[in-house]
Amino acid sequence: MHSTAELIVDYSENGKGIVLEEGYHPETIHYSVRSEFDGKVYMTYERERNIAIKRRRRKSEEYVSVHLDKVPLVLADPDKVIVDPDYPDSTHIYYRMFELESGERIGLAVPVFTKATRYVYTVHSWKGERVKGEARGLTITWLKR
Amino acid sequence: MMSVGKTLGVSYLNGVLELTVLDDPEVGTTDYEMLEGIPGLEVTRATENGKLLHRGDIVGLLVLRFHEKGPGIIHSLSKLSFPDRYSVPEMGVSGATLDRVFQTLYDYYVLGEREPTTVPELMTTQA
Repeated sequence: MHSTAELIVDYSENGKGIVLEEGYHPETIHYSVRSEFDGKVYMTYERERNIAIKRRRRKSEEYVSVHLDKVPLVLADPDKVIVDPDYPDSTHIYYRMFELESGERIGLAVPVFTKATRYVYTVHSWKGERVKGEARGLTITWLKR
Repeated sequence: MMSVGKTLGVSYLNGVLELTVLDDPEVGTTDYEMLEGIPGLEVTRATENGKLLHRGDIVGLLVLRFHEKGPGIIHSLSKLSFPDRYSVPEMGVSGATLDRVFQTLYDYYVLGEREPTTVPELMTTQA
């Protein structure tokens, strides 16, 4: 039985090499997901491995490494999407909260490069309150709120 | 090499640079937020029970496009007077200011066009 996350994931290019931007080292496609805001967005094996290792370094963020399978749901059906105030021409940030069977609530933040080939930069924890820039009092450009 | 200052774990992959303070893996953190006055640099700060610890010690740093933002970040950091010193054992850096840490990483990863790395071995040695 496929989960919802699996049903929205396109594995047709799984295993293919991809250069996400000119000058980058090649990476290997894991899957792509279609986003309402950015179209086809890639996740690579290298990024997933990298994210998993990074998030295990801190106990409060470790859950991210365990729930990377939820990234397609964040991209396909986010709670909030903003234009990254640091990169207004090239990056959107997707946010979504999940309630686990245990009742625990976890949040994921997923910055996506939006020019040319779209891809997931990284995944980090989110507490479900403010989005990037709000604490600094910046005017947020919302794509979904 | 003996570490002087806070020990940083480094991860770099095609532009995405992340530094994690490894000394206290149990500490809670804020969400990533922009560091005032330094475009492109996001930080997390230490918390305990939801409150900032030690006036908000930085425990994580993230740059999504280090190859583009690196020089500006290094320049901005060099003008600030962060009191903390950092060590990055796998890079041979010890007791350095944050701008020196970023300069070393920029020279290595961006100018040196080195392969992406996340260093799981370091996690073992830090455990």
